[in-house]
Amino acid sequence: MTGPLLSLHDATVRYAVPGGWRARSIAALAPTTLDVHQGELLAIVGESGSGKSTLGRAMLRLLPVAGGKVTFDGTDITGLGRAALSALRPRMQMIFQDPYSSLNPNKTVGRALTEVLAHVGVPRAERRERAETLLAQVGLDAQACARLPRAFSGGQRQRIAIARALATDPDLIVADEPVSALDVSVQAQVVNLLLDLKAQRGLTMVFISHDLGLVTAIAQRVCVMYFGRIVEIGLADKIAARPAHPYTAMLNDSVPQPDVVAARATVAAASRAGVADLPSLLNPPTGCAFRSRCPQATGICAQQEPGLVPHAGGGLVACHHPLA
Amino acid sequence: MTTPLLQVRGLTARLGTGAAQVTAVSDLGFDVGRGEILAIVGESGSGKTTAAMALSRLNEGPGGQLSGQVLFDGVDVLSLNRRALRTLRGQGIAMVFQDARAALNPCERVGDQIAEAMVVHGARRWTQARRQAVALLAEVGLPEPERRATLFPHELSGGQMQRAMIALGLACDPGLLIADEPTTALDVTVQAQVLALLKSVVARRNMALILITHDLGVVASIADRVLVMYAGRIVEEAEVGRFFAAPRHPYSRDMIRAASIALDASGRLATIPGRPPRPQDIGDGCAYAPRCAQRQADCTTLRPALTVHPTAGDAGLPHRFACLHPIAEALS
Repeated sequence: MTGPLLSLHDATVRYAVPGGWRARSIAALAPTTLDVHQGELLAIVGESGSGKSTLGRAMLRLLPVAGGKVTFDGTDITGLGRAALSALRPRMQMIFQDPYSSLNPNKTVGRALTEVLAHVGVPRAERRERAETLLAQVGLDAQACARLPRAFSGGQRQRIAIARALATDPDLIVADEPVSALDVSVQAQVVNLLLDLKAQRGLTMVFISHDLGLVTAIAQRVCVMYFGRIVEIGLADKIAARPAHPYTAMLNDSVPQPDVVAARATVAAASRAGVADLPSLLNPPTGCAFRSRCPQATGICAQQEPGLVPHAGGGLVACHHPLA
Repeated sequence: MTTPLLQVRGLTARLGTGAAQVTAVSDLGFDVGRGEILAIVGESGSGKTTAAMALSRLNEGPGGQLSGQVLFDGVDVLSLNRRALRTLRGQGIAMVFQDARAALNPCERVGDQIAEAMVVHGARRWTQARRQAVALLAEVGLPEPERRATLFPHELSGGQMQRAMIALGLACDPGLLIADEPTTALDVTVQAQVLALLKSVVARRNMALILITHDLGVVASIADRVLVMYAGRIVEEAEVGRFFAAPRHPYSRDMIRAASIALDASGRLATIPGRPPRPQDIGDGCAYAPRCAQRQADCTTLRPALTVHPTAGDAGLPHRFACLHPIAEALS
């Protein structure tokens, strides 16, 4: 077994909060340690503001890392400069959420792809053909080359974005909410495409999503984030069937099921639970950040922040009172 | 039997002008009663939002022509003059939009916006309206309503903003609330809370709610009845339990399968091939035929009519569907 393709060791990301003499920074990503193994599909799940996109961007060094270390295939990329990073970029690509803003509206699809191919040194004579092959792989025909992004639907645009990410023949793809902007029937098509491409090319994929139901169905491992921290990592089927962190359990229970009995129970439980009190990154709470919403919270949760430790069910959890 | 609060018959909406005009909604007919939650389901481009906006003529104008009949509480909405229409909007039919951040005025305090709606509609004087606004914010479950009323929208979280938006919709005590994707922009844990709120408001005020959504999880959560739209037409309507247990239209079944996310034996998610047609591309036959697994020869030439099928045990709620070869067996 080879080592991890990508690993984070206490990686931290801080964002500046402007305010003149009161300017400060907040820890959008608390020190995080995580390995992405060769060939796996790792999902990162969390609600808005949980730091999941920040984590995804830190992995690819699209953001400056304030502390800790990021290693890609044995190379420390934490402090790499522009040129060195640019040389590595073809091996790690990103797919963004909104295919309406991630494609240049003034560039034809063919041009968007051939520019990437030129960057990775494909000879001019072969670029056109390679672009058409890529489009075929994502289920679009060669005529797409001559057209602008506005001629395509959301699902087709996301296919183009996927083709562009594949153009550099990457080892790692980080997909940040790649299907949330799409219609339900199209979502499944794009997810299936990603799964097929991953299998065909032996890709390593990090799939960032807010949808725990979706990722537990498709990923091998799931990493749950809350308030800039990983609160649980485990195998997808374990996370779905027996979550250890109360927050994972809460997410599991909140996924609206297309099943009348289950969905009504979820709504009834939500109306009993009352309105949640969310912590603020500007004024972080002591101890466990989830304690204000946690049914299990006790005194120790307010005093001590739980570390991410192995638990009985396999996987890691950051909780003083993990569920059995 | 009493007449329903809202009766829609043959509602058709044409959008655009000249050669670019398309029929976004065709021949829509349905009822909604007080105390009832009707979900209108469809993908983007199915006409669900156009239909909802047409109910209070929000999309009428040079670029939008409406025909057919909308009867609200016995009043013929499509023939109202401007003054009466203004009274209808807000006091009769109110809307809650998907993106509360964009729908609320960013420069006005939340409590003032709600009070303003009441004053503009002549329901109350300012001081009284302002007090009522705080009461409404309390009703929609915002903690510390007096303080929250003095905040600007950007000072609220997404869930709080959507609650304020619902309070604004309720300001003039409408008989019918139309909520267009009210929870799509929210996190799942907050989503369930907002749905619970909508359900309790409908029951407490004995009003009607039309819930526009593409999310079958939301439908299963609170709807009493489901109306499925495809390419501008109703393709199926049923009581919610029956809809999920025994849908008759292949499109409904395919959507339910796609929504219950699970990998099949080959490691893939259930999907619907292709995508919805554009309004100008719809031919003579069934609009779903190109994507339908049980398509037969007549499907591409004959458009199936929406017909009522008697069902037993659903308290008299009709089951309607438009399909030449409907599914006979229940979903497993």
